[in-house]
Amino acid sequence: MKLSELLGVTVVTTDGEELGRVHDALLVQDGPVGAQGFAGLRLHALAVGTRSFGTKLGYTQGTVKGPWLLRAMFRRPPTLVPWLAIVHRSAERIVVDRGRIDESR
Amino acid sequence: MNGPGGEPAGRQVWAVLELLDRQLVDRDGRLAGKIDDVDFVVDDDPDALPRVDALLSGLGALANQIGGDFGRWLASIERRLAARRDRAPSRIAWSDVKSIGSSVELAADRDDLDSNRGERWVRDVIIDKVPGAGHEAE
Amino acid sequence: MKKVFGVTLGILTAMGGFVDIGDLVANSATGARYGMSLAWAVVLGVVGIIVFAEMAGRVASVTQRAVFDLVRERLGARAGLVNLGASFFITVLTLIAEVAGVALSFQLVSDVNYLLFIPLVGFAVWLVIWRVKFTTLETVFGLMGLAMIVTIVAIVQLHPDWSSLWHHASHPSVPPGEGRPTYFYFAIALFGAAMTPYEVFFFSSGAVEEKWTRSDLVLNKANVYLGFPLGGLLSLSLMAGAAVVFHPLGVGVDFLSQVALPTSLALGKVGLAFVIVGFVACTFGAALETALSCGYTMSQYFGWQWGKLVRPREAARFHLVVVSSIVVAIVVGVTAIDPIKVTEYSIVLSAAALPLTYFPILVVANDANYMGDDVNGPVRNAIATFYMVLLTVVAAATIPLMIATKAGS
Repeated sequence: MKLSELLGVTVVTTDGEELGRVHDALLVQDGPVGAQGFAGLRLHALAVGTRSFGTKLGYTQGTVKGPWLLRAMFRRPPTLVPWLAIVHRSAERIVVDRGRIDESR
Repeated sequence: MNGPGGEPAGRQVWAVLELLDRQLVDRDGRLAGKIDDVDFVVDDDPDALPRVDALLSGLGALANQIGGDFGRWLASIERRLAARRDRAPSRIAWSDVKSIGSSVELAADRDDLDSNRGERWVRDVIIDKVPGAGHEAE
Repeated sequence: MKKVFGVTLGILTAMGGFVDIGDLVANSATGARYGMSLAWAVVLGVVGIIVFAEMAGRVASVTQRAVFDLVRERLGARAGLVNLGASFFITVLTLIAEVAGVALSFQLVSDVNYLLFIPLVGFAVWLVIWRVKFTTLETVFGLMGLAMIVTIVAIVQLHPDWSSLWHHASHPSVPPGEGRPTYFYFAIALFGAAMTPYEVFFFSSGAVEEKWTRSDLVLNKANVYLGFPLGGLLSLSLMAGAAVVFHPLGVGVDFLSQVALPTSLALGKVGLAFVIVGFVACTFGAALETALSCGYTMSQYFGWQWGKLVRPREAARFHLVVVSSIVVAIVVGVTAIDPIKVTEYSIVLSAAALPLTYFPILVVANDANYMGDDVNGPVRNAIATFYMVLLTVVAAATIPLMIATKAGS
């Protein structure tokens, strides 16, 4: 599975509510130890949001604080959807269990 | 145990923000392309999380991000240029990654990377034929 | 003492390197048609390039990352590719104009048709990039470009009515008989000539080539705050010369020889010699910068090894792009396409493409993780945001105005 296959895919809940599109993937270094002697990266959650442009600028998850005009335009916290909340995944959409999202908050 | 660069395990990395489109640097400090895509391996266990298996760098991988007709055209170029079709031309194994910072450092020499084939081809076929190509830099 | 020398050298090269074929043509043509009433556009452009270049230079010094590397990182591969396409195309267009500009300058002294010089100039540009040290290249052509100071001497020597010149500059108005759209089209051209994207690509990549670090931030500021305004002064004196000589006669500037005329009128053969040396230095220097920038932009987007800081064989694709761009410039140039027209298109399209590259740099300059304490302060951010808005407005207006005014006729 490639990252590019996840990005931009529409995410909906089992109730049919559209949460947005996949912007980013949260990786955590807690996998099995690899050849170089350190833990691998595992995909824990997807960042899902509505706005498509400006997600890489660094206003939401990054450390960009200004200028205030751009910050106002691009600072929109995405919804964090845990990977294990995914019920069904295809090339066009990802269906998630609403209940498991709220659990993680 | 510590991860690449010495940070404690459990470190968070945002794939798009911190890995995608980042500069790859080889063990001699030479630039070796950009991370164009990330490959995960998904185990059969339903409670298992996907693991990063390799970084992808090259025209074919870039085409995945570009998408659309233009992306497909880029991917076809790489297929045609690939020396052997059964190889995975853009793959950099996760085991070659040394550290993740504002650029991603590799433990390998870029001349050993499949993804850097294009550079070697241009060097051998064109640049090395011109006098002064090995001329010492300042 | 060595540091002081380094600073002066930097200022001088910024000043001498600021004027290129676009500035020569735009400032003279505008002075001839509108007198000094568009001087404000030059000032606006010079302040703009100061803001832009200072940020790009600071980011490059602190992070060791050049513009296009960051453009892709912040905008993503797709938007970054669109940006690359536009920026690369405009930079190649500018290269075509600069190579032709050098050839035209040689035509001024030799009566040999400029078309014959084009392949020679192209080859010389490539050879210098291939073999000459980066610092040598910058220093030599920057200092030679100082010959353009003769235009300031010339305008003084012409004894113009200073109060009248100042009055027109400070009370801008569209002259009777001229349309508003064309007036603003010329304003955009002047703006684009002052704020050329390739200058920022080059300045930022050059900072990495010369291994600037945090301790060189003073050098960065000196280059930008002293060098660029002095360069702007050269632009204004070109405009004033044309305003004094051509404007009263209602004559337009369509040839490079006319750009030299005010200086030769004021200072005779000696003045003419200096100004032609200046033309050659400025256009050749700009040709070097644009050819390198063609390589910089493409290599930094794809992550290839770039720059003169390594052996040519270690940056193979970078050098391939550079030589290919020069070949394109030669091939297009010898088709006898009007170099003045190409120049005009390159500066106007530059103005349209500015927001694409300005925006990611503004964002990175505000990234505390990258810049630490060297992030933009509130005052700088206010000015930088103003320019962000201005550049967007200018970019949106450029193509419609170009079509409406039939490219300023």
